[in-house]
Amino acid sequence: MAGLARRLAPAAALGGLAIVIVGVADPAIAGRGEATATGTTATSSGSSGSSGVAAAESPAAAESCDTADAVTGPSVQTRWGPVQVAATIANGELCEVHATVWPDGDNRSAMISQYAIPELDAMASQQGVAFDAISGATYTSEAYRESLQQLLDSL
Amino acid sequence: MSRAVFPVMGTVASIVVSRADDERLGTEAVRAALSVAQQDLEILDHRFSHYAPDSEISTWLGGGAVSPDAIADFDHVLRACGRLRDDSRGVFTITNPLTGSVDTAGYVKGFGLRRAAGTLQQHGVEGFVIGVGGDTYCSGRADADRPWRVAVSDPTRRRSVAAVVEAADLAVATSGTSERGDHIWSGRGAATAGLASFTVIGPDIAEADAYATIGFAMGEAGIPWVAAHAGYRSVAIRTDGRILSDAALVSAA
Repeated sequence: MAGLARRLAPAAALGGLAIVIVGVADPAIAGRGEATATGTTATSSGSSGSSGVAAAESPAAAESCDTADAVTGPSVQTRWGPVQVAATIANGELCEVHATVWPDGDNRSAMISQYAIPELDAMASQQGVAFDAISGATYTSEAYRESLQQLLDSL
Repeated sequence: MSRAVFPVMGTVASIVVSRADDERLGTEAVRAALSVAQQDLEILDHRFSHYAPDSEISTWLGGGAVSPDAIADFDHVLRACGRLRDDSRGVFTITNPLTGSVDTAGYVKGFGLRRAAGTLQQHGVEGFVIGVGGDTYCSGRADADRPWRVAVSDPTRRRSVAAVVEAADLAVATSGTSERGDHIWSGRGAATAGLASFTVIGPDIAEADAYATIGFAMGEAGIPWVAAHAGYRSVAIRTDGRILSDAALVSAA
C-alpha cells in the first residue's frame, strides 16, 4: 500500500462532519478550466462518517527519473486474461508505470483495456496523488493495482 | 495490509484491510473474514444473475422454488428498488426497456457490497476498503493518522484523477459511461444529460450506488436530488470536463 501512497496530498481535516459544503469554486480541482460548487453553506449531516475532497495535484517531476531502474510486476489473472505492469523507479519513487500485458480476448475486453489501462498508467504515475481505491474505472484496474502493488512490495 | 482481489458480478472486486487490523486480529483471521466476504458477493452474484438460466432469480421469476434466504433477498431488493423508483419519480426502474423484464442489476452490486462489508465488520475487521467495479465502501480508517482515500477518475481525461475523496465510514460510488459503455438506462428513457460521470458520497453503499445511477440519469438536477437525502453529496463531471459538486472541495495546494 505504501508504494501507492508515497507522497500524500494534504487535505483539510474534516472530522465529525459527513461532508462540509464549502461553496468554493476551485480551478485546481479540475486541473484545467473551471470548477463550480453548488453548495453555499457549511453544514453537518449528523452522520458518523467524515469526508473531504482533495484536488488532484499535478504530477511532480522527479529529477532522478532519468536514471531510473525498470522493473516488471507479476502477472495477475482476471476473468478476461492476465494483467501485468512494468515500472521505472528511482530512489524508491515511481517514475512511470505502464501495462505490458492486459486482456484482449474479445472486443469488449479490448475496448475496456484500451481505455482503462492507459488511464490508470498515468493515475498511478501522478506522484502528488495518493489513494487506496479508485471510484469510476476499475474493470481491469484492480488487477493492475495488484500487479503494481506486488512490484512495489518486492522492492 | 491484507488484500483480496477476485472477479465477481461481471467486474473485479478488491478488499484492502488496514495494517492495524492485520496486527490486532492476525492475518489468518483476516484471511478467513475476507474469504466469507468473497463468498457473500459470489452467492449474491449467482442469486441475482438474470443472464444465468439456472440462477435463483431466473428460477424464481419462472415460478420455481428457491431457498428462504433467496426469497428474503428478493423481497428486500425489490422493495428497495420500488422505493427508489418512487423516490426518483420513475428515473430508477427495474424494468429493463430493452428486454421488458425485471433487472435488479442497478441495486444488487451495492446490496452485495453492504452485505460483504457487514460480514467483515462482524468478523471484527474495522478498517477496510471494499470495492466492486468502481463502487467502494470505506470502513474505519486506513491508519490512525489518516482516513481512506478514494480517487475519483476523470472520465473526460484519460490518465487523470479528478479528485481524491477522504472517507471514513463512507461509501463512494460512481456511475458513468467511462468504462463499460452506455449501461445506464432509466424509466424516462436513455438520459445522461451532459454528464460523463456522477459520484455519490454517503453513509450507505447500496443507497449511494443507486443514487449515483439516478443522479447520472438526472444530469445536473441530480445534485440537489441527492442532497435531499441526509448525509449524501455528489461530485458530477460534465462531458466538457467541468466538475460540479456540493461536497467539500479542498485544494491540495
